[in-house]
Amino acid sequence: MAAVAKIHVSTPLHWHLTGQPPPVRLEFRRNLVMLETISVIARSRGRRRPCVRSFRSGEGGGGGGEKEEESSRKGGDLMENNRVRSNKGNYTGLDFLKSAFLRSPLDDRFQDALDKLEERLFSIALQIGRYIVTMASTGLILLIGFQLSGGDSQLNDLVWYSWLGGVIIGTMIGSNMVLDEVSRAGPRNVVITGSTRGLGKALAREFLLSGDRVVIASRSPESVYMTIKELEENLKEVMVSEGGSSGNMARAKVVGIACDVCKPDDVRKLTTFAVSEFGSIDIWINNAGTNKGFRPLLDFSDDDIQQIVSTNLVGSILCTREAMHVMKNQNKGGHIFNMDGAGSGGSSTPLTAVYGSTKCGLRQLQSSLLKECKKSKVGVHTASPGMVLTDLLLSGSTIQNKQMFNIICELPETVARTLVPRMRVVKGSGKAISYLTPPRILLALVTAWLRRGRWFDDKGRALYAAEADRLRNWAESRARFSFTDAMEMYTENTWVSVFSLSVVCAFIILSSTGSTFPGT
Amino acid sequence: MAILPSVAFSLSSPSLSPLSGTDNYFISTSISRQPLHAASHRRLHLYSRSGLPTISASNSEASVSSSSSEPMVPPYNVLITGSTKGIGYALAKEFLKAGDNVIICSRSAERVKSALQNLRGEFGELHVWGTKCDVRQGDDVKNLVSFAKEKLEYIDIWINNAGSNAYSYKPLSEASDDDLIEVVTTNTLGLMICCREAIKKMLNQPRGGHIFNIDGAGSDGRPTPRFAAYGATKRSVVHLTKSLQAELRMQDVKNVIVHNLSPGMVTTDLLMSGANTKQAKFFINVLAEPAEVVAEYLVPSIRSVPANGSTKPTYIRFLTGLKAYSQIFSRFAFGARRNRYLLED
Repeated sequence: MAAVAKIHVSTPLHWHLTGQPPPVRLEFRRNLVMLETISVIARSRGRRRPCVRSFRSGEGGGGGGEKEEESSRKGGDLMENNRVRSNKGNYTGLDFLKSAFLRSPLDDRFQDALDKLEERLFSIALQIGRYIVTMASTGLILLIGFQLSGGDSQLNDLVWYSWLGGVIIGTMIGSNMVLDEVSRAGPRNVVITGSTRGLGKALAREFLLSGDRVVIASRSPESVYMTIKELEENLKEVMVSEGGSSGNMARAKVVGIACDVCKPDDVRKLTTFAVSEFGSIDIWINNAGTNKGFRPLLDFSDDDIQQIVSTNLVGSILCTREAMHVMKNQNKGGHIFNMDGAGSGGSSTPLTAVYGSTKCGLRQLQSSLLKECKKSKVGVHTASPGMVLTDLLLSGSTIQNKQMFNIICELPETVARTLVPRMRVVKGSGKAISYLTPPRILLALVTAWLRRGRWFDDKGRALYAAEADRLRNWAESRARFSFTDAMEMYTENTWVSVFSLSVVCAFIILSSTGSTFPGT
Repeated sequence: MAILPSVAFSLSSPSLSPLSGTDNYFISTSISRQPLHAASHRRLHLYSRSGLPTISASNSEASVSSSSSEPMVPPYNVLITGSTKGIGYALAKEFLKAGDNVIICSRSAERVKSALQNLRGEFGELHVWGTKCDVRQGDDVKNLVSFAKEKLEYIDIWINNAGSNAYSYKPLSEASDDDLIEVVTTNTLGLMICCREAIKKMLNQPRGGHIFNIDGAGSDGRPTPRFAAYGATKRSVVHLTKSLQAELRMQDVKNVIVHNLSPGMVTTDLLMSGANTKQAKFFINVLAEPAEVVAEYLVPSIRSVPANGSTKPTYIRFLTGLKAYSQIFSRFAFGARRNRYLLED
């Protein structure tokens, strides 16, 4: 197993270093990414299936359900995949095991169990490889730092113990997440309100490309129709660029319905529509929100206020209630996300008083719902996208605002790419999934100078590409992004714990040896 | 942290409140109307004299922004929304006792009429007026302002009291559409429209004005299961106040001030309709007070804000943290207040 893992590690490094793709680059890169694994399997199916297929048909055991067969194929392919890459021709321990079983007459059940075992072992190997990458790099950084600072052997020990501690803790947290991911693989049924533009659309696209089935909803039927068309196009493009028949994307589907979230009947229509299309709702995102520009309360008309309150507050409340109705009766429950916004934390929001106070109210609603849903299988969460370059933010913003946006804002696609993987694997209740985490804020502040002309020039003109261009570029670079993202998602705990322990360790060193080093 | 400021306030306010509160009460119940008026005038005149330095200071500041500003002197003109019953009605009564002019309003014309009849019977025709106003309707609120302008010319104190819980305590998943929409639109939309109209009116008044928004359960951000929608709206009330304060500061407005007002738990229909669990009964018995008691405490505090010419936003609380904890403690220690309003277990 370790050998397999090592190979995962070395190849991407090699690739990065030389800049030349190794012959098996595609498979390798993809295999590093849990999320992408399934699509790889699907692709490789065409090539390598005959092996498993023939075996199955020879057995005459086609009785297993379609799903089981699929999963077994998955496992088999994975193993094949693995073997072909790692040591062609040579049997690994598992293959030997498998071939041993192959000769003996066995039933379907046993085969399935074996396949499942293979699948598990493979994903474990995958994770081990991933952690070795993380650990090696953190270790390397520590080592370099240590060498540069020039310490003695006693400190060296301390450094390495802290590093080991970080590895262990991080691995435990990470493997928990991974096991969870493994146990709950498969497409989710997602409903996103207000999803015909801005962040909602980006979220819908991201879910779709993760292989989920998405219901989009918005007030106007035309824009819903347009968005469905566009997203289907996106999906097709990506599927083509990924090549062949992508397994998980084949199940991806997008449907939509017009729905005004502040009308109870519309919301009910939306839920029945979603249930009739997909059978269940796993994730519901209350994304619909409106702001109507930045100005003092005095300049807001009755209609403006009415619309903001009813979309943000009434809409979220009604949608949450309907979603809870549906999810309560589902075996696997479901998850509801409410979107945070400026004011959620309770700090004042002059010039957007109405918007801010509705968002602040939503946060309190979340805490009440958390108590009410304690015993049910429904999870209520918040997702905070930070500042996103959408119409909601940009309407009526001044040049000064835009200069500030340069530093902290992000494109909706970037934010969605970070939020969606976390939303898909969320469990429990009351989680807060946010884009602007402290490290990101720190990074933004540190690099503020470099970010000056990122989105807007000094006259406030937009420098970033229009959505269509953005998407084209983005589809091309998607693979790379999913790699970094998955890396981040699975190893962030490890990174955090390694570095926090290093800091603690450094502190101990400094405080305990302060007297012996007159220089410090 | 949250308790500290309110405790400081409750320690400082009694120096004013015993005089104006209990004294008034006594006079108004025993002697006729005229002496009361004179008495309260004299006393409040004294107040403003003692608070003279601060008033003149704020005057000179305010004169920078608006050329003609006057100090606010009693009797104050008070407008209270949702004031035909419960805490609003009690507040109106208490302001009338203090000699102020009051405008009451409510969604139902009949309730306004009967409340008006009661109040006029007690305090005479010339101090209280009323009109029908649904705070959720922008036009209604505009009419209310012009009604107030016609009767009183200016408004010194505007209390946004109208609030609803649809008188139902259920988990959100069981709440009905109409209830939810009523709660949110009354508490949030209504408040926002009222605040906007109040600020608009007060900016054009040389005397400026004070707006008080009434908070409620959940306004500190703590969860409110069984009335989630109500809690969310009340949380948004506090946030709106905060944002408006920031907005007015940005615009350099000094004579219109937005405050928060916290009546704590009041034994009105709104609260009592939820008294069907053991926990709720316990807390109502221990912490709640009748509207009259709350109003008796709050009104002097509210009136002291314009009286000492402060331009700082305040958060007036009836049920301070210290008070609440001591009441809970005495309940557990001595069994005080058991079965006070409701029979427990």
